[in-house]
Amino acid sequence: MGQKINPLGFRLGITQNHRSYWFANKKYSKVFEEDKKIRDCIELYVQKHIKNSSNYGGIARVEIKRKTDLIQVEIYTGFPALLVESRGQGIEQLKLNVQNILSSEDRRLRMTLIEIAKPYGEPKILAKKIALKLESRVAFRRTMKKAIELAKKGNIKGIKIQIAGRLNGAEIARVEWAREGRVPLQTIRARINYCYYAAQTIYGVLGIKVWIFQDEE
Amino acid sequence: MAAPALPMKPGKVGVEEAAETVHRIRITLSSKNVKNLEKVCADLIKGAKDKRLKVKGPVRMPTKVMRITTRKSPCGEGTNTWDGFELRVHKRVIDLHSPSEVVKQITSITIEPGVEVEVTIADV
Repeated sequence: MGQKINPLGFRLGITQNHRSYWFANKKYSKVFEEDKKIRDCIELYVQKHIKNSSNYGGIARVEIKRKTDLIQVEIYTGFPALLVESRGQGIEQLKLNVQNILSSEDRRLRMTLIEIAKPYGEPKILAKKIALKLESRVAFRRTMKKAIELAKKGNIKGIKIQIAGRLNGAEIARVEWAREGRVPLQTIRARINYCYYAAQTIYGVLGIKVWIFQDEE
Repeated sequence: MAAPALPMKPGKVGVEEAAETVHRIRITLSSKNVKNLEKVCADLIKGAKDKRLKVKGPVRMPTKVMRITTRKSPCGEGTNTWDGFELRVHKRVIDLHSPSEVVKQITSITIEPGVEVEVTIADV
């Protein structure tokens, strides 16, 4: 057997779009660093303000597109109500934070929230939910099954969840996975979404990998 | 016959209207993605032709390929398998003869993310 390539990278030209879409020649590293700062800023904001014991933020992905003088940040979230603060304010605070980070030359920033119809069809949101459960010491097999049930409510054709580490606090780490439906990783035209997320428990880190097979091209 | 209001070659600054000085303008488009690039090219040329400017069609510069070849393995063991990553930069050049305001109009219409547009003006 060999090792598996990241299914997102595998499908980049074909069934997967880039999450940062811009062109830069001489300033590539600066723009790249800025992208990372924007994503970190958004994560930090969500962790500080929104995440509490009962929910987990719910941001699936952040897409950044740059045109010559416009930076467009699209936040795909399953629960937009969590991010919008008081009425009418929207994501002003978040936008201000991000604008402070950008080395403000004259570039406009446009930030939009995009709601995802079936949030548990997105692996990142599902992985974060599993992480939350595991960190509060729920039995892992039950969380895996419940997560699969949640995901099946959307229209997906297959899902696979893999959790690795000190499961249930055991001394010897192992890997467990659960699958429902089919997840053809070798088929490039299959639209497979993937996410890795690390849950920090008192026994160490549990690595959670979620593959969701949405549909075939 | 009255003099034609729209000269076919706006390069002739002998015409007696309020003709702004016509510049030779070079638009350089670069991108990693060919489809978007070709689309922006086509839009630019169409926009320029609508305004009856003299256009030198998209000149396709050779594609620059940046290759990064790394060992797949984190250690030295195993068959020597290599990853070959590539980043391709495509470049197109369009020459126009037109006053500068018109060019700003045209370039502001068609901007797609991921395509870099550079405009240089070389005075006639």
